[in-house]
Amino acid sequence: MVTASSQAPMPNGVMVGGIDDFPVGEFKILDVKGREIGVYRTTDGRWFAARNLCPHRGAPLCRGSVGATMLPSDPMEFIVGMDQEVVRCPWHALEFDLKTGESLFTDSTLRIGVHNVVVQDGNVWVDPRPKPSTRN
Amino acid sequence: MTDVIDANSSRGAAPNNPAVGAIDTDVHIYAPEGMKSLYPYLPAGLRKTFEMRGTTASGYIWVPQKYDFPHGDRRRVDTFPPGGGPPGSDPKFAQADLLDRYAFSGCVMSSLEAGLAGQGFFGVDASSAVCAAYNKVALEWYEVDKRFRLAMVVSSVDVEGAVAEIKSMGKHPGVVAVYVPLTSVPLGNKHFYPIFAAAQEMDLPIFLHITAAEFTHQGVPMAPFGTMENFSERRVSYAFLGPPVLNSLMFNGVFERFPKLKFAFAEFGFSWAVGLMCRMDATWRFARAGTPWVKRPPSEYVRERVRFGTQPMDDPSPEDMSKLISLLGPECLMFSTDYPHWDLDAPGHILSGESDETKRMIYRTNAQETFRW
Repeated sequence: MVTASSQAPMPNGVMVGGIDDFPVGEFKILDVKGREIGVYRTTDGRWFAARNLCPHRGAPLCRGSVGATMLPSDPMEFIVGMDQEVVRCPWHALEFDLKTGESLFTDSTLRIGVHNVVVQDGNVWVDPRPKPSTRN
Repeated sequence: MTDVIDANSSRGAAPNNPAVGAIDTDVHIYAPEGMKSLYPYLPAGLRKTFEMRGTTASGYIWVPQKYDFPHGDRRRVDTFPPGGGPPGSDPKFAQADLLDRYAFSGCVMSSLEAGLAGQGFFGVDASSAVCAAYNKVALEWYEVDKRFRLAMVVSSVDVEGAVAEIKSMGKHPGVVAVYVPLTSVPLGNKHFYPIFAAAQEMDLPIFLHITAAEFTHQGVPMAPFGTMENFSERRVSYAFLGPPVLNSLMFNGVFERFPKLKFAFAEFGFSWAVGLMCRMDATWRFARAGTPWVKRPPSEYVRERVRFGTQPMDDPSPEDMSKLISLLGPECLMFSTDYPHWDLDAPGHILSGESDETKRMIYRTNAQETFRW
């Protein structure tokens, strides 16, 4: 439920709807101050937001799948990790960390735009400013 | 307040789209209902055998599942037409989703399903009839939008049928090349000369493209280095398929025998071609007397009459890509996306380090001069 008295939990935050407006396990793509941003709600109650644009070839990133990935491992060993924290581009299957935006486990320096999401009083807020890189 | 928007809407040309008027030299189409879509164009008996056996064609090819694509399907999830059918089966959707979105002036279509037919997947006797039916379905796209041009497919296992198809369909204004699927017979072998002669007569270049059946069945090219174990190994190996083809054409004298014929290598990549040209030139200097019909350095024939599609771009830095293109020769490259497949190259995201003149050549004029445009 959207209430007029909601205070933004972050400066310039944009309230994008109530919790129930967001289906679990899929991106909902919104226009947030002129940027296309996909908001994703995980089955265990975490929220991610990513810009709907892959920096590699310009794909609509949020048409890609969100899930786990294989962590670097020894030959013929598979270690599943990062459940619901990885978005795979629908075109070249490049993987990005939804928490930081960074490319995963390759020498690629490509990075997607990711945004803070805060749920407060049943409302979902997105920071329209992308998170800074965590790399040096 | 926020608006919910179409998930595909951010995908578009860059603000200063360098590809306005470009020709996309590698686009794939699919028959909407596989073999059923071909029924109206097949001889009655052949149609009946396909009906009785439920032959689907579009479903569409058995390859070992260790080679499954990263997304499972080779086709992009965002290219399925809203009206149903597989990606690349609805000309109206492809017109808006590809040609209009990027402001292309044209594209060169091929059907890889048809390529399988040309490799003999439905049998030698049926191959030319199935190829001809695919060509008729594909040329319906030309009627929707004249920017859709076709690399007409022919059978590589029924040369007589292939020549007949070139002589009849090759006159169509929508046809700009002859697609010759690869088989276990090297392309420089005299087996193919009647096809080359017919194509040259029609002023049509030879278009080459993998079907994805390579390395998996007898009759198609087999890997000289044994079978591959996973998708990555296999995708890289497509870059090893171009060199033997070009090597065979070169030292069997095809460029002298057919002095006007051009070859378009689509989706083989091109970074390998630089090293291959050096190796061919050096070998020619040492061993020229054994193949005296190769009258000039092999790299000269390549720069004159062999063209490579840009997709899939190997992804070095823009500076290294510029060096590579300069070593190859910018006249050898033709822009291609590989729409609607998963590993396409979108305009504006490639060739960023090239001069305006090089971009103009690669995006448009090289293709105009190569295909019968």
